[in-house]
Amino acid sequence: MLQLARVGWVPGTLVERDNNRRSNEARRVRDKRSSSWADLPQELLEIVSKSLNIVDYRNLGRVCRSWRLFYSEFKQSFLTSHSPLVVHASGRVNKYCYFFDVATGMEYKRKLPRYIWDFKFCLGVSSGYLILFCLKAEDVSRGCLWVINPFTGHQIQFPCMPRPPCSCIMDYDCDDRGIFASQGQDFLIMILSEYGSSLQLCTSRDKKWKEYHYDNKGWHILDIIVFDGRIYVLNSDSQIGIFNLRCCDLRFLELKFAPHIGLFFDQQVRLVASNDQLFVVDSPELYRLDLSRMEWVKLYDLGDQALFRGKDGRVCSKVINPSKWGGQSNCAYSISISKSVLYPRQTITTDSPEQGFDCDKICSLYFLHQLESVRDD
Amino acid sequence: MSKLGQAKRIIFLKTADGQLFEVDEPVAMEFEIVKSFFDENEDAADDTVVPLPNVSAEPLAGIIEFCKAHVEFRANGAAGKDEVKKFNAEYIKEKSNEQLKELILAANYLNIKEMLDFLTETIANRLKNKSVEYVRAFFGIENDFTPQEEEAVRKEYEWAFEGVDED
Repeated sequence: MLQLARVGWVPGTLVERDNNRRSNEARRVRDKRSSSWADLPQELLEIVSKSLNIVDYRNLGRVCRSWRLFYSEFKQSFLTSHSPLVVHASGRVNKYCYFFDVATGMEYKRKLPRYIWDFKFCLGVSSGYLILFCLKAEDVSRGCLWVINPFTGHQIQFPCMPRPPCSCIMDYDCDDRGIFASQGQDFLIMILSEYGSSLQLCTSRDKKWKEYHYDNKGWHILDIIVFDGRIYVLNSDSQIGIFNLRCCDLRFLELKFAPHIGLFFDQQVRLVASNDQLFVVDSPELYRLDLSRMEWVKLYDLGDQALFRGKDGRVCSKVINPSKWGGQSNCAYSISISKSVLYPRQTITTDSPEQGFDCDKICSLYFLHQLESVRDD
Repeated sequence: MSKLGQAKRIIFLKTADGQLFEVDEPVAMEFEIVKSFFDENEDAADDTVVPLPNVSAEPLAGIIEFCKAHVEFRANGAAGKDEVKKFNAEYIKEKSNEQLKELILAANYLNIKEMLDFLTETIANRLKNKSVEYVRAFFGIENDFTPQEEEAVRKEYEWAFEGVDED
């Protein structure tokens, strides 16, 4: 207001006045810039954010436009430099979902939307999304699958599955596993159901489930994983296959030196990925799949990486470099008290912080990483 | 009784607002930008004035105070001890928000790692476990989102995490 008033009685031509005002404005903008915390350079915000946790970091993105810009641009590097979280929600008190930071021991809770409370079963965690199966009686969405990202709130509903996960119907854990990934603009969900000897998959584009059966093949599928834009499958004959989404078919790779896996408990055999490598964990053994030389390589050392694994299918496993957040490398982190130690590596056990929890619904490792994506081929 | 032969070298620094500072060499060498200036110009005369076009006198005086103390701490083997923590706490206590910002911008420009680490940590502590409204008020930041942006942000944060202090 003061500016305008002054311009009003400054003598001179209109052009001069106009120029005057412009330079005044320019100065004001400059002054504002030099005096506002909002314009703290991104490089400084980046250093500051290194000592923030995920909740504080998210809050940064709400303060003002320039901080929000920083938040969006650096989110990925922030998330990858943080330790995995253990996520769990109780089957009974299901209003909240709890996160437990492996590195700092900090716990966060997150209120879940009301309609999620009635979901009775969590099939797993994939790509930062919880895969939930609706068991609510007399509900239109009964039998539907929902995937929901507890950090962003993003959610997608998939139609009723042709074969509901067996662990939902029968009252025991029979190791269904789900993977969720983006596929271009769309999303893909795939459920491995050991009981039904099938892979069921659905995209957000088609909204129709497709099935791949393997009940007459003489082997069964042990695990599925998204790696390098494709879906890799491991079967009980130690074969590694790539699943073709278009033809809904499996093509096996000819890999040398395949060991006999799963001699004792084949439910424990898992495909695990790091950023650029694919592994098979058959506790206590660990193999790397060398896809350029097409062979299995038995590993005795993980170098600067560490394996994060859990005891059953709902646990999302990964091989990551923990040095960024001060974790120990060349060892296996395990979510629960597990006797299986990966020889010769040390196992670090991360106890769930709430011992009294009914972990029946969700209890998994949660990686703050980006969504895995599969190629559309 | 000073030893004439080992007279301390003085570095001349000139700020954006034209003030000339005389700084003891070890303190000035804490500034990465000054150090590399002399590394690149090995034959620079002793009375060379290093221009610091992005720093004004007030923050520079504060920075010299901080670096001088820390150079002494290191010389006395006190680095990392309570004495240092006490100094840092006192140092920051008497700084206004505005001064803190000028200091951090200057320390960033001069590239003084130790001081920058300390200052960014100080800021982080003022963000930790605080509500957005508190942060805006504390740092004097205007909410400059348009109503549409505000709505988009609100939606994204609908599932807010709990456990934030009610400052």
